[in-house]
Amino acid sequence: MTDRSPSAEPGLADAAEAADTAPAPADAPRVPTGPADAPEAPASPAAESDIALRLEDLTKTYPGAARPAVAGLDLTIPRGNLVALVGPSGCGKTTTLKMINRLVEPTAGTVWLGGTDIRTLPVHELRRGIGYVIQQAGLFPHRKVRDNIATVPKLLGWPKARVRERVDELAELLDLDPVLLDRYPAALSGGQQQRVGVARALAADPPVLLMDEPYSAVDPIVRARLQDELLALQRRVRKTIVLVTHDIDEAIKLADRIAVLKVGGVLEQVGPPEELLRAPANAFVADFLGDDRGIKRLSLAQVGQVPLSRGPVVPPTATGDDVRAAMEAAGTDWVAVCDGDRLQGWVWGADVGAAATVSAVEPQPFRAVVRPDTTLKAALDVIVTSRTRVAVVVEDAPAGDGSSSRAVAGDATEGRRYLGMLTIDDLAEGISR
Amino acid sequence: MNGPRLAAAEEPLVRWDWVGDHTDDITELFWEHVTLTVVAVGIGFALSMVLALVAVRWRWTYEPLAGVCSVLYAIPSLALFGILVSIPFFGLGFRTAEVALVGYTLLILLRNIVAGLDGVPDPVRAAADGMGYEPWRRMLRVDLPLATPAIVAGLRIATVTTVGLVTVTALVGEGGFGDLINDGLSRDFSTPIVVGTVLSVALAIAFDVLFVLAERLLTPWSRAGRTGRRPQGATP
Repeated sequence: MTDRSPSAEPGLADAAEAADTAPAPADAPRVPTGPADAPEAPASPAAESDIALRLEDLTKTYPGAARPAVAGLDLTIPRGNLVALVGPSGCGKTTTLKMINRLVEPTAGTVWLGGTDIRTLPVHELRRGIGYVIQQAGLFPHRKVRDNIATVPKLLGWPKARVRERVDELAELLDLDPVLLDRYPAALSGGQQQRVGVARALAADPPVLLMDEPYSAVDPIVRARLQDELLALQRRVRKTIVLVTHDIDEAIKLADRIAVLKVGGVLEQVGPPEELLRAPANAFVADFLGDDRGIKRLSLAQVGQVPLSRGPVVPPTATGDDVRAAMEAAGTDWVAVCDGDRLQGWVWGADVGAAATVSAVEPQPFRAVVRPDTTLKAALDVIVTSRTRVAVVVEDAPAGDGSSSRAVAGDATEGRRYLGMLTIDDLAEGISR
Repeated sequence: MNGPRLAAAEEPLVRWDWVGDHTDDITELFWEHVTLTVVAVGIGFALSMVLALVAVRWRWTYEPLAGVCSVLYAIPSLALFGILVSIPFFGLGFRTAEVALVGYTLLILLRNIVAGLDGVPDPVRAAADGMGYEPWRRMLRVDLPLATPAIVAGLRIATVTTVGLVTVTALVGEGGFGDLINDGLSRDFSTPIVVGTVLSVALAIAFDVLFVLAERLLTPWSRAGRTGRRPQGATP
């Protein structure tokens, strides 16, 4: 009988676990960064200091080309934002990026870097002040990792001791084993090389970072990890990042705002990922985002952002009649037993005699649990693979508060506070708000 | 006409007493040979480096430059000596020898330096530009170090070739071990021929070993890790 438990399917336990460990952009705040968030906001007028980069009517026509690669692009990038430039090949996204550090000179238009027209700066100074990360990392094969990271500080003429200190600091920031610092790049894996590439770009602490398809040359597992690391890093260092990618999922995962370009460098839409997915400006954008926009939106929101249903919950003292009433209200054939906000497990309604209380029946542990920081997409996976179509939402209880818990050993809900239940309807509700 | 008589001579191939009597001469000729080689390869390297930098910077110049070097390389050495000797400034001697020797190194060195610089991976170049290297600094700190294996490969070929050619410059009076060979041929005496040939080959091998060691010192990175790549040098 217990085999028919709402959450006994082996696949379901896996799903719950996956939901638990799923990369959680949850704690990546996607709020626009105001002056309060910028640690070193200069005392200049707010309007200027909030804008890290402004592309104004930027146009590039390559010699001999019939049409411009980028045509009259206007884009404003707030300080501390990660903006992804996406679009099909030939949409001019890389050209746009390279116009920011003048690897490509615009045919017309202006790039403003923190209020300065970049053409007024000597090109090498400009580039030393902008971090640059490229595909395949582009590390210098003839220099040890340490010297690769130290490239820009050395070009800037920092004293040796300071360079050394900074390299060690970056190795720690990017979780690079110090042993690797004294190796040559060829001895590193692709993922490690890419991390060194980011460390090198951050070395002189530039306010702006340009990333050109940084993860397209690494395998999907490493890519996902590097993306998570970038999000974590970004929470700490809050750089203004312009990321070029052809991978819309990467853009949705990483970006505060996405700019969709179409061939010829025409900006079709720019906005937060959620906004693009909810309201694509036109058929081109909708098409580029893919036919699973709803599912993609689920990956942007977390369980904690959705109103939860209480579900068929009864206290241990509930009688058979209480149980039946709860089941009827929720339309289930089982109830969850909850002592206060302590989830003890669940029981089949039929097992509770009319005269007895629920506590007479040994509750079964819930295993299809999710947490407030689980993405709705992961929660959806839990729900659709659970027989009862619900995911139980719990959160960690404060320490030392678990003495009265009757939870079964191995229970995923043990020592955790019950918050509610999530159904497919709740998810749909969650993203339609 | 000397050959058959040489082979039939009563004398041994090498008369060690002659070698013992002439160690001072041999030492002097050794240094002459080394000097002729080092100066030729040195000047050739400097010239071809300039030509390579021009060729890389202005790509259209590469084929014409390589063409001129090919013609130099193709001129028979005897003819070249004949022409140079008749020019008063050169005449018989060091200058004529060096002009010819340098001329023969240019094609090999130019092609290898350009191939080495072309072999620098694009992402590395892009990264260097993006980090804010000035063009000259990038050339010095990134492109040339990475081209080192190909450049050294060119220097090895050029040097071994030059060591061999120096024996021919004995014709204009500056020949290092070539003088020994000439002497032996004119007197129908095998010992100096053998000594000159063996020492010339030994010198070529010694130079080659030095270059291999120098390359190992200069490019420790090229042996790092499984993906360590070595730019392939072109040979004419």
